[in-house]
Amino acid sequence: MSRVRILRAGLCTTIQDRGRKHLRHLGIPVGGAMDLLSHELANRLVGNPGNAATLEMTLTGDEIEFVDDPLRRAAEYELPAVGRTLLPVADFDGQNCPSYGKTVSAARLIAITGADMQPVISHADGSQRAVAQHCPIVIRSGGRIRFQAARRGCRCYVAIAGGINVPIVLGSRSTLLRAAFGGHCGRMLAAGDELPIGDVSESSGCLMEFLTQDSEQTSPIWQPRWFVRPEELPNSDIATLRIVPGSHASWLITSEWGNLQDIHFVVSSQSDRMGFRLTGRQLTMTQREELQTEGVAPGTIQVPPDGNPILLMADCAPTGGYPRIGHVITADLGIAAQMRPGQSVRFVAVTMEQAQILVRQQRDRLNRSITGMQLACGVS
Amino acid sequence: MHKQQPATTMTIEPLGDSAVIVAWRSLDDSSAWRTVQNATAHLIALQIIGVDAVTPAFKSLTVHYDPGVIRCNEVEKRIASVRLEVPKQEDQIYSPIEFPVCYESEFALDLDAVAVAHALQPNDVIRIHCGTDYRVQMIGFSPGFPYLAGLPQELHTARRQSPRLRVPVGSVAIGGNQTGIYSLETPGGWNIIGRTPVRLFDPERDPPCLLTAGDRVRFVPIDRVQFDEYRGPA
Repeated sequence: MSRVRILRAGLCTTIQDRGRKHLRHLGIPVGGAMDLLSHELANRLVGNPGNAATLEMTLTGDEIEFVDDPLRRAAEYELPAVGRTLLPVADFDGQNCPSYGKTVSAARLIAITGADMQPVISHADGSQRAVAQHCPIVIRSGGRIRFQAARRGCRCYVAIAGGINVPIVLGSRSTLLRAAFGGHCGRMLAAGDELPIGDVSESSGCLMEFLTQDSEQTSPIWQPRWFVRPEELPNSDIATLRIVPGSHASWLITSEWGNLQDIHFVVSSQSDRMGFRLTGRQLTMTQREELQTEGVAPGTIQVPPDGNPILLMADCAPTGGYPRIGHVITADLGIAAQMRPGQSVRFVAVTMEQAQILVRQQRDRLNRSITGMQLACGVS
Repeated sequence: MHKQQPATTMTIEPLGDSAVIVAWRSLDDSSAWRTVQNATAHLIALQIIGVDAVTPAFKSLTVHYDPGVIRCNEVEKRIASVRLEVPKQEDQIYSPIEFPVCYESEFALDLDAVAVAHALQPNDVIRIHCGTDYRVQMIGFSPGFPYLAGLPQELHTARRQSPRLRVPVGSVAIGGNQTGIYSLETPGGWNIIGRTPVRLFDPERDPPCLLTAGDRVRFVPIDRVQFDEYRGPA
């Protein structure tokens, strides 16, 4: 079994897929990747289905290593290829390969998206290289990737061809920290954890072969000179999130709703996968009615009695009882997920029609990028 | 057979660009609840393409959809086209699920405060709490947490001024006019009057939640020894 090993843990690294959409009636949050678009892009770049489990690193990344079971390695991996000829299984022992006279070892196809954590690969001989993001890359087994503090953005996604193959719990591999289930033992990853990797798809195999066809086998990493243009990370000065009005938008005093785009909030340190507490401006509500508990969703902006809004995120409860002044549109939830504590944010209202056009355009862009890559790499 | 009353008081409003809330806020609690349960079943049965989930709450339900697949106004149109009615009062024949609860002071952190608030003895609070059947209105707040309706008026108690950061799992508590059971260790502001050894939520179990909306629940007092010896439902 091939595995990824955590050598040093980041601040909050969890395993996530698209989450559990169908269990809200049991009080179970949807969960899943906070920045679904970066998660999806990482998966598609390595030939995975969009729902395969990835690593979600937060603010500070991990140091990871790919390890193989030597006995099964030959059967599991077709790489590396010499020219376009696959190595005979019998010669593929991971050390010396007499018939070709070169040292080879098994390799892994991965992609890194989202926050820029300045990943660096180091190899046994001590050499180091920057690792490209937003493109498929091939890493030799034994290669270690060190992720550092995020220079931009907050959450970085690492997809591995085959996906992280932890057990499915209640229909998903996503970690739900609050209820301590899913992912790896229901918790954040820690140094020493080893995660199994699933079977590699045919298109992943084709991509690997394409990427490595002209390169030196001794290199610890193969990466292309191109990348797929990612969706933008939030502006580090002030992020702008587009919203549609909520049921209780009219409860805000007129001057606040009318000038919402001029109000700068700050993402407080009390922010996690459940939601972001926003400070900097206490909103004034004209009504103080106790509300019945009703449905909420990631993106919902609630205003509790203290007036500091809460932007609900992936792990939010399926229901809530505070007034809902607005909802971040689906197309901007990825930007929201990339906001860091201490950063400023403002909200700009759009119409429902605009919101629904934006989400479709965003998905079209991703699909076009992936189709383009597949054509260029000869993957059908 | 009673004639069914049409649910004319229904409102449909968007909840962001990926969900709509269908609500019956002007109906009384009991009628609204029955309507929500009935409507949830109807809307699930429609199997609208692009709709991920239909989730009931107290006086409303939420239809979650994928905005990349179906538009908000199409979802609203489909909901509005369904003839949703207020079902008649349900039959009174049911068998409640019994929950053993240890009301001893070690677990009942707020039992004395609840008793004092109502000028009762702690034993009276226990007797009243165990003397009636409750209906699961919805599962929410955290995985498997049942909101139970039917708390006798003399036990209605306001939530605590400052919520506890960690309420032990299994805590049986009173919040306003409802009672509930903490299915996980979470923060919580309800008044804790006892603890059940029954595990309400287990992600390894199918279904993971012991209770579902509509179930009936009755509490049965047990002592500390019985609590420790509890080995699951017989």
